[in-house]
Amino acid sequence: MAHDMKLRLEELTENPSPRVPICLTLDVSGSMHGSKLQDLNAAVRSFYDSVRSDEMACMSAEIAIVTFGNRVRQISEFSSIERQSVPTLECSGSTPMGEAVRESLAALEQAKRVYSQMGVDYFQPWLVLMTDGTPTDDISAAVEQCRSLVEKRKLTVFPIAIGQDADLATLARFSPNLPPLRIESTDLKAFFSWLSASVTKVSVSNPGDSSSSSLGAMEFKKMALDWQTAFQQDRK
Amino acid sequence: MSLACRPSAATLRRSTPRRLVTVGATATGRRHETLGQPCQDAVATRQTGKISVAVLADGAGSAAAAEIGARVAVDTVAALLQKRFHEFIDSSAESFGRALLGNIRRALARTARSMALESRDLACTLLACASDGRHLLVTQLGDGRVGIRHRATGQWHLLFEPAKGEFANETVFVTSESAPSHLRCARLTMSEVDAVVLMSDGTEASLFHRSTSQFAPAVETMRQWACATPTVVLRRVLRQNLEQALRLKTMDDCSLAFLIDRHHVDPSRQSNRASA
Repeated sequence: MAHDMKLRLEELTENPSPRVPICLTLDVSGSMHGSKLQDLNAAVRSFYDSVRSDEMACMSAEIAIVTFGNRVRQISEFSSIERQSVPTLECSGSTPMGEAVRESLAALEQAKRVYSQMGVDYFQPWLVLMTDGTPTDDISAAVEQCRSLVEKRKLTVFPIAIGQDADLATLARFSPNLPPLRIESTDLKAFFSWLSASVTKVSVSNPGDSSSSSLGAMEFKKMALDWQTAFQQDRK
Repeated sequence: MSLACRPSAATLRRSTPRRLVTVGATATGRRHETLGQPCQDAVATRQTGKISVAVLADGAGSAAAAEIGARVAVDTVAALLQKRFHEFIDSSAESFGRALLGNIRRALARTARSMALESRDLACTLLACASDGRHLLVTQLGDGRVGIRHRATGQWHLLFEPAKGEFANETVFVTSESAPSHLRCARLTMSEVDAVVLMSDGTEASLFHRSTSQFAPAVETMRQWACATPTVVLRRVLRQNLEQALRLKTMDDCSLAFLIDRHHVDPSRQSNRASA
């Protein structure tokens, strides 16, 4: 380079990476007891590990976990993934899905407020809703909130039905643009592997007119189709 | 469409033409490099005749031929500003915006047709400035940053707030329906401003501090280089700094352009750049 015309690090500035806020809203009701819960715990741990192992995803992803069983609890708050420890899920009780989704949406809105106050950019939030059964509370208000946000492109909901007893029709109500994906608990790790790859894609995505903000939704649709096909083939 | 600063006729009569230089450079981002994809940023600078022009465009990540769209946009706007600069200085902001977007869109449409694509496949943002040494015209559509240096104080200031959606990867493009209402333009004078910098959002990551709205000291450093360095060398220096420093702070393509009055550099105002 021409003599002395080389910018020094101290002449540059630092800006925080835009955040990808993701809320995992997870069914830990009594029916999740046993291998399903073990698989879910392992899958969530592998998700955190995958995100941490990718440079861009690690700087961008912020993950909160809201569980619903005996009661609704936010067991992990939005913060830098490097500082988070992965919680261990425990199950018991019923399935207050409506309350859990409302609390998850409130947590996502609070995260966006904090980002705005700090001058940190953020991508469209994601809510990953996983259940193996049917809600035991009134979900109508939560459904209304979700649908409104999704239709305004302010949120993407990924509805996941774990096992054969999960109610697809109920899950579908939360997500007007993405069909629920039914998987076995043994496939949870694969789903979370796809999710962490999607986080990377979004965190490095370039501006689009609006399509980029639905990048996750497009990929999920494609994956849902691929998995439905594979699942049907496996059962033959 | 927003408009800032119309100089008085008396101010313009008193001012004298300046010695201007325009220079720009681009660097492929790490993400595109890994994927074997081309840089989607483009820069054009012109200094023929009496009008100096610098233009920068950042192709939309979602567009199939973004790099071509960006190239067509900067070449079209550079030619347009050189040809019709004096008309635009006297016209209304709306008239200027219509002419600018109309010309870009027609050029993109022609190119798209020749490639069996749609215009949106060539979508890009746009930042541009032009001067005859007295008047200065600056415009922006979409993200990235435009800075101006006040001659009197030597301070850099952000000229426009870029059009952005709520989310990090949303902005407006020259092909967007809402482009006319988001186009920013300003008419200034070279007696008030002695330098303009245009940067894409990739470059912004290391040259503009978002929470304080301050340009990094590096911008002034590069302006001082421009005042003392032949343009052909300066272009190479900018590209090397983009490649070896700025693009390491982002995964995105990086581009930068300057329009500078090459007046005497006051040594007392120079940044302390003693060898490390």
